[in-house]
Amino acid sequence: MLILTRKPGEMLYVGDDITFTVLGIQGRQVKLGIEVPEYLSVYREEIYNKIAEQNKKSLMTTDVNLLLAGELWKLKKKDA
Amino acid sequence: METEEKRCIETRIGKYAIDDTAIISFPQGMLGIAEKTKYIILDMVEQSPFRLLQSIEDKEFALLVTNPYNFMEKYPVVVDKNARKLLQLKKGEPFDVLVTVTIPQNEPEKLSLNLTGPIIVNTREQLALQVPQYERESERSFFPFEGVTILSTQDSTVSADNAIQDRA
Repeated sequence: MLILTRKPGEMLYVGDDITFTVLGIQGRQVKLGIEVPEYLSVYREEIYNKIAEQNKKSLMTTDVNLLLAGELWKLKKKDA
Repeated sequence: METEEKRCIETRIGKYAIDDTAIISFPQGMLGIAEKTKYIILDMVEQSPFRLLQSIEDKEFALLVTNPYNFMEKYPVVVDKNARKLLQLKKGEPFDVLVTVTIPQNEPEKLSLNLTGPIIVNTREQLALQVPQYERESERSFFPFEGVTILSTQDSTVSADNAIQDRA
């Protein structure tokens, strides 16, 4: 990992069109300004990991559970 | 005269002949699975709200998804300007929403709708993007079948029809 030290107001370039700006530091929080081309997305790590994990789990649904999910829906509708 | 081109693909639930117009493009893939970018949506069981988001490139690659509004009246989804642009959505143009569904092994009643990463679809262009939600209420999962009793799901050979009994 490349490790650099920056002061508030200072920037980093990643290639030509990605920048990180340290906007400020408050206590234990660092405020970053990020500019990326619009075809790229920026995610908070915990949200990224959570969604990636859910996507993977959704891929691993077994055939039996797929069937059951449909049946549960019928039951619930009957209940309502 | 125009002819409708159909292509035959292998899916997790058998062979399908599909129109190219049915193919939905995910230019960025999905989070953690960026390598698959072309999908179709398949109905598995008639009248079930659960559907398969099936990769057309890999037979085994299919996510369980549903329209969350089948289960919840209120689920506000925020699609920011950048996402709208990627999806080529015009101002005020409506879009479809799908969420992935997780079913824990042997506990189908704990099926959950994953509300953090909805899939937004521009049906006009057949373009889709997974758009993370940062509102607190969307960080939860939704469990539509809490309280429904299911019997003997440990036996994996049991058919779905007799695995479930009404609570009443």
